[in-house]
Amino acid sequence: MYGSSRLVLAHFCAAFAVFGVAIPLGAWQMLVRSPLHRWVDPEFYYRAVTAHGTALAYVFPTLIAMGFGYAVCATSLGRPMHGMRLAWAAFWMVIAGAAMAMATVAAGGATVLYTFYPPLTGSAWYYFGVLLAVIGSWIWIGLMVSHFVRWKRDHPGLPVPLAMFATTAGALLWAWTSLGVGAEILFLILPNAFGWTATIDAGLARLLFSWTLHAIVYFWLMPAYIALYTLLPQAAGGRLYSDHMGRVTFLLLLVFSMPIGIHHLFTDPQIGAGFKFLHTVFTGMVAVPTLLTIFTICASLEIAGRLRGGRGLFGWIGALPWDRPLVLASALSLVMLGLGGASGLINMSYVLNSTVHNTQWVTGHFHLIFGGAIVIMYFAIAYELWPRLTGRPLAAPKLVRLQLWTWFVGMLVVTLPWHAVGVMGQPRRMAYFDFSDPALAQQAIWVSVSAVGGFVLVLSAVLLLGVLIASHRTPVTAVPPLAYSLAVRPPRSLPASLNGFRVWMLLVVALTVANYGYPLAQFLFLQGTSVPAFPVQLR
Amino acid sequence: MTDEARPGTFDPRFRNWIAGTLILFLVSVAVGFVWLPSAQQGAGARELWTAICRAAGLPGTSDAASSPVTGQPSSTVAWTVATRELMTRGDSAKGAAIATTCGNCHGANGISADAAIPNLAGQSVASLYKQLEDYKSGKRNPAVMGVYVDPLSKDQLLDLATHFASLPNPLAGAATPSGSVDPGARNLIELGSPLRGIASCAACHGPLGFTPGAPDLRAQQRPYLEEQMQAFKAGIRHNDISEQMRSVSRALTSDEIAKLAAYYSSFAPVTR
Repeated sequence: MYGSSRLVLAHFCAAFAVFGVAIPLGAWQMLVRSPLHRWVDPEFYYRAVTAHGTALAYVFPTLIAMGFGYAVCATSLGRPMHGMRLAWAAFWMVIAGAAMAMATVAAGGATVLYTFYPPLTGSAWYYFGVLLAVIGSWIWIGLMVSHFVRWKRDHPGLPVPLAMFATTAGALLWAWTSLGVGAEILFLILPNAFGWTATIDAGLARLLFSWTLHAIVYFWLMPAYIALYTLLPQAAGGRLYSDHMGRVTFLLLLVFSMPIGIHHLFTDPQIGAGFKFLHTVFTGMVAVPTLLTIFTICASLEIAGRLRGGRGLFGWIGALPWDRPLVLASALSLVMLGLGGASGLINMSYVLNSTVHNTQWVTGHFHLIFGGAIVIMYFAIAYELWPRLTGRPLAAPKLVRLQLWTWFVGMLVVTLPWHAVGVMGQPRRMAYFDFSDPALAQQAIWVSVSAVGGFVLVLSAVLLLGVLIASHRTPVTAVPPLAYSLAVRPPRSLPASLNGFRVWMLLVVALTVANYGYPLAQFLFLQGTSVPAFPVQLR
Repeated sequence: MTDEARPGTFDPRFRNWIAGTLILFLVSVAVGFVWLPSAQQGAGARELWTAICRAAGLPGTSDAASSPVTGQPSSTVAWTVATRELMTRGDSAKGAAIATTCGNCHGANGISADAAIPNLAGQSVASLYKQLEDYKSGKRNPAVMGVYVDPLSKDQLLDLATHFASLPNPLAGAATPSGSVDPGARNLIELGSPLRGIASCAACHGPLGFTPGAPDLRAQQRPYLEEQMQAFKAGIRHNDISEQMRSVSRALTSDEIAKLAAYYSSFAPVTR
């Protein structure tokens, strides 16, 4: 991979190492709060939840996005990367930050959950760790943008390859959206953690966090979508239905995924109802690129299926090469994306949200979307990249398919019951429930079933790690290089709007000012909105 | 591609995208800030501006929007940041000088000899101060205490609270209750009873957590505790700011109240 193999491999190995630790923690949490186990000390429960969330929300997807970004950068642009030292420095910053945050959580210094909503405050080391990891990812953003700009300069008039275009869109999205949590930690939480301020503006902190909280999911989603658009059609033996559609999708994600975060604050009284409505409308707009993607990917798969001899209305589906991990994973991912997207539409509706707000439904939703639809694509990306990184074929292709199926089944068994008990009113983030209480007794069976699903996911994670480790021992063979899908009509040149980000970024900033400006200003100028902090660390 | 553009030139598509986004924004603003709030019941055309302000998160400025306040607050004390900061400014020595009268009933060391009179030693400044001010303002029945607190200023009340808070905590050497604890009482204390709307006692009165103004109940006098919970239940005592003690006590049976009082008083205070 043009000299980037070690870098990419380091990111993926670190990401899956973190994943391997965090998944059993998740299964343990589900077990101990289910009727299958006696209650445990909530302190340990919340440590585990904080560690699980921090590892899988901040560290794991960031490392995957960075590693995949480097892989795309080197292979799609077809030349060695520059700034390798910076890239390694960024990697070690993320690792150091992750270690710092996780050690603090393990020691009981920050059971603040991964959303760390003030006025809860933990040890400053936890926030330093998160901040360090975020700053490491900022270096990656700089590298991606710099490669994008240099390639365009060296190739005037040529379209930037779709994979690199999308990677840069993801980097720019993360650049803008990570500012919210960065500002929250720097200006509100750390001064309080150091004891410089006695009080903390919890409302402002939540608003700043919402700036990051929703768009971060689209940053996680980017590698999955890039694989769907640029790797899947090729793997299925067909062509991408439309290169333009891909570009429009990534641009719409860039523009609309950020100025919508207040939909996480529907029950926050300090935000005006008008802004909640505004953010609801713009959240609805994010469904557009998702629907475009489902259409384009299905069309691309149909092309592949028909090229492979499939006939009739649905015959092309059976003709697809289902033994290829990327094809299987993409189909399973689209199913979970559809289900999770539907529950997301309920979450984003101002009125319906009040029924499910802060219930286990929400946990079910984001596990299905992120843990299911997105993470299964991370597995598929790893299976595509591993032979190219090691020069050896994947070990045990049957186990690979079993791994993808167990992840899919496990995730549905975990999350569908969560949706059900959420509608029954079970709150999220609770360490234990008294299921002997008649009011909760009907939830017991659902909770037990979902706890079993957790262990199916652990089995799947073990299979994944086993296959990847074993794939370092298979005999060296000639592995074809990573190939990107050709579009049905490959663009020879593109209009400026589909080949760059300058005006789009202005639109992003303008929308942010329009949708966030007033609520932010209100907090900054209103006096007396701060409350005493509530430290949770053990003394 | 027929519509190729040279790099660096402005692409007319941008105009369409920006115009489309702007229209979406303006329509959303019109619906969210004008139409929906003004269509709400009670918002007539004259109050359109008020409705817009409310949608933006600003309190209304129109007189018509404000409804007359009925009823009285349960206490004149509010746990604002300013009040909580005030709680750190009392003078214990001055308080001790005033406290000579108090000792007659509450004990010189803050441990009462009479089971109907509460122990004060080692309680938080906030919980002691709130009761003193409530007696003074009449929010808590001042029949007995009124005559003592009326002549005192707010600063003196604070000094007094600081003095009793500084006395040795009788719980310093107290162990968990000896003998068997009633499992029903323990459940109420640790978990509450969500179905009946009863929050866990320990979440406010310790040891799970302490909310401002909530006293530590361990080693409190049993008859006193029982009498106070019954008074909350009957609505005779009503100086709990958010009515939480009245709500909880109403939901408790008299038997449960007796068991809770027994539980808390079973911590043996260490008198010095």
